[in-house]
Amino acid sequence: MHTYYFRDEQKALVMFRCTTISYAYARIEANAGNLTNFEVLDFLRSRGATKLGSAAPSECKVFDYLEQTAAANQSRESIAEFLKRSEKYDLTKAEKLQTINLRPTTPVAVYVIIEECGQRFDDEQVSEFAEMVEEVLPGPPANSGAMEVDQPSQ
Amino acid sequence: MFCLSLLEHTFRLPAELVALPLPQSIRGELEKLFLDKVIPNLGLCISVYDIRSIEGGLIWPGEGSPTYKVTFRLVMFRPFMGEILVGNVKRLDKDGLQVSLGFFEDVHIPANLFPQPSRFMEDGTWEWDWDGNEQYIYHFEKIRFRVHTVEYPTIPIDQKANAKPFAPMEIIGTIHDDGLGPVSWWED
Repeated sequence: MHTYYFRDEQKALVMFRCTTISYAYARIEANAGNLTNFEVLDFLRSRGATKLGSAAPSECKVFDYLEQTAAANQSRESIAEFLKRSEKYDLTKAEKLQTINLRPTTPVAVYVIIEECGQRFDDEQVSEFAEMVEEVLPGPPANSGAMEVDQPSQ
Repeated sequence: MFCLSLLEHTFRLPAELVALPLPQSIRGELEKLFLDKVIPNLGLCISVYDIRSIEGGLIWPGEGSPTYKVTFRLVMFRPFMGEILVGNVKRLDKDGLQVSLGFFEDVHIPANLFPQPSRFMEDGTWEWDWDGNEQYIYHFEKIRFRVHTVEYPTIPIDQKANAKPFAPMEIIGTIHDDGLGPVSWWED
């Protein structure tokens, strides 16, 4: 049991599954920047998530999830190209982030991501956008049909 | 889905790690403390992104190893409200769905946030009646949902023997709009 000497620090609860551990730590900035799935995947690759034993099991689980999404085949260049080509649509940061993460290639998928899509764009612009996304951002890996899920024991 | 959080923490480095290079041992301790744990309102910690500064190194009286004050950034899984996520259906019951993201399993889509009219069938699937066309939700299907709320329940003091295991972070999702629900519903 560690003893901590703390001054002016915010005490908070850090919970792990069913165990609670209380630490005293200070949060300086809760949101220091959003990351695209590609950036997280790139980071985990650099941490060695591809090889067993280099990264923690939890990091490997996130890596396996992201490898099945569109982020697996993306590159910095394709994302930069997408950001350049999407400037004329005047999208919010959240919409650009979700487009990069989800790669919507049909008008239905674009409508889900972009708020008030029907009021901001007409049908032709939506189809044009979907086609641009399909062209610029690479698709997800071919076998991404069923992600691995632990079979429930019943 | 992911973001960075900047935190500062003061802790004592265990004596057995003092011989290792400092950044490596500090990183190991931070991972042990934060990795795969939920921090309320910050989300689930995925990884230690980088260490910004390490200060201190004093040994307090009565302790056998140095105490450091470390500023570092963590990669947190914290979806925002309204974000679209894709997961696999893990369990179906009359109250709704449980969706799994592989690394995170506590996503629930309650029955009142389904497209209406829907009903739970005897064979364990959900059926949505869309103007006469019946659409189904099956087990293990890839499903797209929008985040409705992210909750961080407090730890219960007493828990009944057969209660659901406590989840420190829960995502409530909705599939009530066009384009949401099983991905197979919206593919051409």
